[in-house]
Amino acid sequence: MELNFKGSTLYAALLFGLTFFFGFTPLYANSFTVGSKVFTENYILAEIIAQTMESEIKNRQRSESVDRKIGLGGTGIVYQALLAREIDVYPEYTGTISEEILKQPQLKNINDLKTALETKGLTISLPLGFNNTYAIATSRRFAEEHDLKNISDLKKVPRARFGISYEFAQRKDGYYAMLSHYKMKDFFVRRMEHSLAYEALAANKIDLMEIYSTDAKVKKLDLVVLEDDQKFFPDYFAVLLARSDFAEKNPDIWHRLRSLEGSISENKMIELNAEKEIARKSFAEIARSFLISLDGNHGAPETPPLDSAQYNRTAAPDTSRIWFRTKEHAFLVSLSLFAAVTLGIPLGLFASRSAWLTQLVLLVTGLIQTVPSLALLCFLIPVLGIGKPPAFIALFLYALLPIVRNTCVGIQNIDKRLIESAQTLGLVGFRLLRTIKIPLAFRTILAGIKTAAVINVGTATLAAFIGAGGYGAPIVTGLALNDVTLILRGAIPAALMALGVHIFFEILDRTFTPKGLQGLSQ
Amino acid sequence: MIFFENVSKLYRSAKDSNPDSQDSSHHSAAVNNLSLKLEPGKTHVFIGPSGCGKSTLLRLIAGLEAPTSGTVKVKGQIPTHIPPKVYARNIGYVIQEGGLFPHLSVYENLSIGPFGTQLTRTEQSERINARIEELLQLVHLEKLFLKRFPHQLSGGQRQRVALARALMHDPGYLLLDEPLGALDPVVRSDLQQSLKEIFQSLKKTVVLVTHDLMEAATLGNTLYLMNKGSVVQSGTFKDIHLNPHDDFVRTFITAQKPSQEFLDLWN
Repeated sequence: MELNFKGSTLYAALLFGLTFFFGFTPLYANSFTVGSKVFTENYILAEIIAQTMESEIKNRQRSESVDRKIGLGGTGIVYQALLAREIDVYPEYTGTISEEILKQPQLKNINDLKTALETKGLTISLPLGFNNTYAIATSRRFAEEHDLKNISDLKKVPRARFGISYEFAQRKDGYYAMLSHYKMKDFFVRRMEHSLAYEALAANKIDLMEIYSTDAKVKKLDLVVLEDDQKFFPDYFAVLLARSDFAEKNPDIWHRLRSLEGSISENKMIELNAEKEIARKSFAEIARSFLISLDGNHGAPETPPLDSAQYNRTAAPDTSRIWFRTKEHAFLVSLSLFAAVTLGIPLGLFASRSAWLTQLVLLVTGLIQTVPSLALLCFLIPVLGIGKPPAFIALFLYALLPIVRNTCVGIQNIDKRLIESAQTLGLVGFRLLRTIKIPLAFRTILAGIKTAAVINVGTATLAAFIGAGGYGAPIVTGLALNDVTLILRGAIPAALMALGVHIFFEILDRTFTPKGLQGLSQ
Repeated sequence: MIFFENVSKLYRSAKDSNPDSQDSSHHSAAVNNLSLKLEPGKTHVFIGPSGCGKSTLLRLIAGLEAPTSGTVKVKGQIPTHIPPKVYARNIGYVIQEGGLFPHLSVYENLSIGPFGTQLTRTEQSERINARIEELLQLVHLEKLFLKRFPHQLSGGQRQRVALARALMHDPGYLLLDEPLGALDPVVRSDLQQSLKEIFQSLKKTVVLVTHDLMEAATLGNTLYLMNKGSVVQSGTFKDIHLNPHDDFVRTFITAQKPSQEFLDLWN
């Protein structure tokens, strides 16, 4: 009869079962990277930038490729990515640069901005044309009912429900500054994801929201835009924000990109936005036809570039794309889980040695758990850049607590008299751990790993905010485009994967729990 | 031979609010300045109310605790100074509910302790199997139990397995802490009889702890009546019940209401 606990077999099974698909996205030696924030207009501009670069690369018979890191997140994340050399260029707005990035709101003039950015190793183009400033919108019904025409009129409706995005709530030129500029009192504020605010307004759950002046949904949802009668909102001219070294080393490409300056009027931008949000064309198509209309001669490439899996909306949800996302997602979850198991179990065993250590280890791992996942991802960008590495580290850290805690508690909950009996039989040290402690704590430890895995399947969807892909990619894009079908295309497989993980661990539990413990209450 | 020389074992009382206090009145003494000499080859039964220190005394012999002061010596050695792996071959230890490992079969429970390493694997398992066969006969268990898990056995069967496990290495000392405490009366008297036979046939030094006077009288050569960490009176059951030293002993005996029939056995 064999006494050896099946620990090693189990570990091998975990390895096989969980890390079935690997593969970092290959890093191209020579490539330029275009980034964008998570909203339609920024996606379109980024695609226009990318196709312009591709066209110039082709014209000059250069060999570089263009990477699209589209829909990375809010200003903070994309800006950090630029500083971290993860991207070379992305579309930004003058107001955002002075208020949020430089934090020098007095800088209005483009040359002043350029000088200030130079110290950070960055440069900007002249405005692309349009001014996409903030504006306040309301439904036609609400505007007529209260006779609202400009922002000052809002004093008539102090009890209005105001849906504001997290960014607008926080910005120095945002909601609260607007209130004090107009000398208004606080409304009933609902903070929400910007793209969901449109739904909320349409469903009469809120009365007011902030919008962008080039917003295609103004027409689609028949919104009334209130005039900024006291000239509060600063200018938000779209510009290209790039790394100086990128512009200096590639003067031809930078020069070609600057040919976009002044080429997009406000109406043109609304039209382009509408092509996406109403006509539902792909970004590649919109950018291509725009570039052709701009200059047929040396316009866009004849064949559309391979669409990044992240945002092709028009293509059918073919199985290969779902498969690709599944691999990405499974890779993130399994690799981080594997690392967390490898470190978490020894850490839990170590912590179980004394009450003092237990408290310390659980406190530290618990603290990590309280950091909101998006914030944690954001903290990791300056250190690890964007994409899979920071997502992997964040998921690893989140998986740690349940594993450490359950290992520690599982060991401590073993009847002390059994441990003493083992000692009087001469079982101590590693042998005691292997033959008695780990088998007896097995189910608790496995339950901890299961919890970690299920949580990570969910948390990994947030990784798309920093460009790590997976099921979160369609969710993030769907949120940006207010497209429920697209959101479900990420949410449903994620739920199924969580279910699959649950079942997988139930099977492991049944297969590997020592026979003598099966059927006993846990 | 087991020696106790001025042995005290103190536990920090839970109510102790001043951790700096060295005053022993803030500690509860489980064993209080005890000196004893336990003859080899005999069955020594420690008896007394709960909390009298009898289990602590057994744990000191088993090497699970070190005394706060004084010296415990077993066969001339201090238990806690010997590596558990080595000391384990000297003692067999059985607790109230057996202390069998629930995830291991009876066979695995019996064979789990480390055996001599000089032997080859086959020699080792042959030796283990032979020893298990011997012990199953001794504790009146059938071979078919070997494949079962502890939760598939009755309480009495579990104690028999625990006893067999304690005897695997043929230790010189057998330590039993309320081995029959969790059993119903019929099984209990049955197992009491088995234990008595086994003790007589093996001629080991047995130290048994119980709170049951009749059990102590049945199994023990010498009884030690304990109270508040000290041995109040020792001797045969007859000595103790005919000449109780003090009121505590008298009360303890009458409280257990031994039947006249039982008492007559010893007169």
